[in-house]
Amino acid sequence: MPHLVLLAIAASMALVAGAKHLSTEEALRVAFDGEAPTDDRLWAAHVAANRATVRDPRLGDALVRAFLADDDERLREGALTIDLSRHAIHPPGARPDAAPPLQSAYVYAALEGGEYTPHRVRSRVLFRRKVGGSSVGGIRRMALPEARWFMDSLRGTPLPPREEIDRYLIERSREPVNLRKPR
Amino acid sequence: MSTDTSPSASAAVGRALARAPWGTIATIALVGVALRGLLLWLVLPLDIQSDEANYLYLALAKERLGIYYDQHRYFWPPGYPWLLSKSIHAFGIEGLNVLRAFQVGLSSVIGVTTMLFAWRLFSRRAAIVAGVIWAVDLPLGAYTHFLWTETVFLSLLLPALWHFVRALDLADEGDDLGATRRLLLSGVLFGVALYIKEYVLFLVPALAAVVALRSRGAGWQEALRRASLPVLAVAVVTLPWTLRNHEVYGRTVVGGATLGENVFVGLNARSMNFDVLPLRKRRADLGLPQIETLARTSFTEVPAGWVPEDRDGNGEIEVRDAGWDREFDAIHAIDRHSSQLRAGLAFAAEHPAWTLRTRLKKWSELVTPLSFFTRHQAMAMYPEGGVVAGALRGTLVFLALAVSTLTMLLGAAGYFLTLRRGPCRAVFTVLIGYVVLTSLLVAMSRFRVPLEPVLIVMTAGLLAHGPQDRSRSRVVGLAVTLLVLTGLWWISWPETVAAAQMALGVTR
Repeated sequence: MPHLVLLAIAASMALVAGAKHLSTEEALRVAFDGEAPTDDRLWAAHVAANRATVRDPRLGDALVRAFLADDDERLREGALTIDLSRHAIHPPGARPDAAPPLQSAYVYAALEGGEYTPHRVRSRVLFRRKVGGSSVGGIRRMALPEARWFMDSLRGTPLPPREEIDRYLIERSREPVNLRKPR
Repeated sequence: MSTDTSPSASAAVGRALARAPWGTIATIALVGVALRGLLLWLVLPLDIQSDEANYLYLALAKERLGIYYDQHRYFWPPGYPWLLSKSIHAFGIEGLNVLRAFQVGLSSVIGVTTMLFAWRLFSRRAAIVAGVIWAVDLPLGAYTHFLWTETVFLSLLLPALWHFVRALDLADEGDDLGATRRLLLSGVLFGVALYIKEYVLFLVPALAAVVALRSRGAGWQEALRRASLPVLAVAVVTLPWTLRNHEVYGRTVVGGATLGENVFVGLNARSMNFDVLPLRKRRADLGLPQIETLARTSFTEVPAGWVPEDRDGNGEIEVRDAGWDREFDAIHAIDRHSSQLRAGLAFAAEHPAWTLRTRLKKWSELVTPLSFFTRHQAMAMYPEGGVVAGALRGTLVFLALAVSTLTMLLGAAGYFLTLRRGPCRAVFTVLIGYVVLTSLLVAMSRFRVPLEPVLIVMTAGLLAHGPQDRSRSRVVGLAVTLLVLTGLWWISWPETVAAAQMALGVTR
């Protein structure tokens, strides 16, 4: 009897999942749809980027540009995560583990107004501290100050002055590469 | 209490469990939790380190974007980052400490289950001894203030094993309904544990085989019915995540996907010991030679004829410049498994002597007396000027080393000389074998954690009752085990000593 109940539960879950299934074509359409809600676009991009088994310029270039040009900060930050970073299209001659160029240019663009905005802090953390290595834009692990700034940025708590953030980032970037902790 | 766990004795065990010394168990558990709480209070503020940062990244991304991302080289189960995201959502960055405090409280489950096992197998006295050892087990207790999965995982794994053993007891007593309920509950707990670590994915079928074998007297149909129940329960509990993965990837992923990267790390030219590798920066700061230069090269050196290659082109041959490279064309971790597994196995087959000596090294790293507590001390992660890194440093490090060493030695003696045949011994044997076999790929002290409560139980049995069975086969088994254990300690002795010195702070 328990076996039958478990199988019935499993079948119900499978049916629900089947009913909610999003086709890849639909996912791509929603991801590019400027009128669609942000959460839907982020999820659609997540689905499309992970179903693709080879690097796809629609995702690594066109969708990244679309997200980065959007007014919604969450969408712009969504372009910096691993989903679209792994589809990055590199210029000829670039190292295979080079960071995604579009996202790098965005994250390292000159600061507007001379201070780190909450969005800039989150962008830096999401892009540079992602797990996975340089080919997806990640370098070194996050440390507590960055995590604190990230949460502060979400909660509206004032961020430290630019000098403090820059000093921290420079010190972290000076950590010798051959002493990086491998795990 | 009799240590006989034959079927006829199991009924007595079942009845006796109703009289378990719950008051004593609860008191010791409270003391253990209080000690862990005190330790947490003493080590704050605590920075994040290694995979802690990775879990936190995933939690922050989930908090901001509402999506659980993979880790490019790995695809971890979502449970722990989910817990982190809930905690930081509610409490901000202080949520890290809230989660640590939650883990301190949750560790009571580990303590209670450990004592229950000692009670079930031996006696009230053994349960008390097990509880005392657990309470002062610093290597285990320290995980309550680490943002690693171990405390949460063990709090699910041990009850899952407990209900599994009780199911076997009840089946022996002829209580089919009770056994069915326990098997179901055990499977559900294993399933939830899979959301934290996919480590138990193949343990459940192995344990199901134990059910089938022990139930064969009831007929193979009944044996199959019982054995399939926990497996089915695990499948159902993990199905939402499996279906989610199928929706996202269009491919089936149960739990997580870490095999490919672990094969890259574990079946590759360079030896990586994760109890000492993170000490590199600290050793450089202290002007000390890197620990890998102290290692016994017979067990770490690259295969004969292998020419290292500067794969990342930075002009230096480093640990990351491995004998074979990751699959570059497969952009997802879940798709790199098969090719990296093939590459690793081919590399191992091509270098059989290297494979053999490096597997011994892996086992040596599994049984090292080091722990992540000593690693944290060695890395100077604890607040400078605080009690844990200051006045009590030496005492605590010695305690951690002693607990690890003694529970391995005495636990082995307890397994062979005190633990009688029965369902619990069968389950413990499967667990030990599973941990030992999976550690052939990648090993470190952290991978020993699932065994530590078992070692405590067996140590407690020995201390409470002494040797109960001195038959020749048992004594020979113990002698061989101790010989192997000593040999494995010898293999990594130089690194162990160097890391322990750093933990003690005697290198300054």
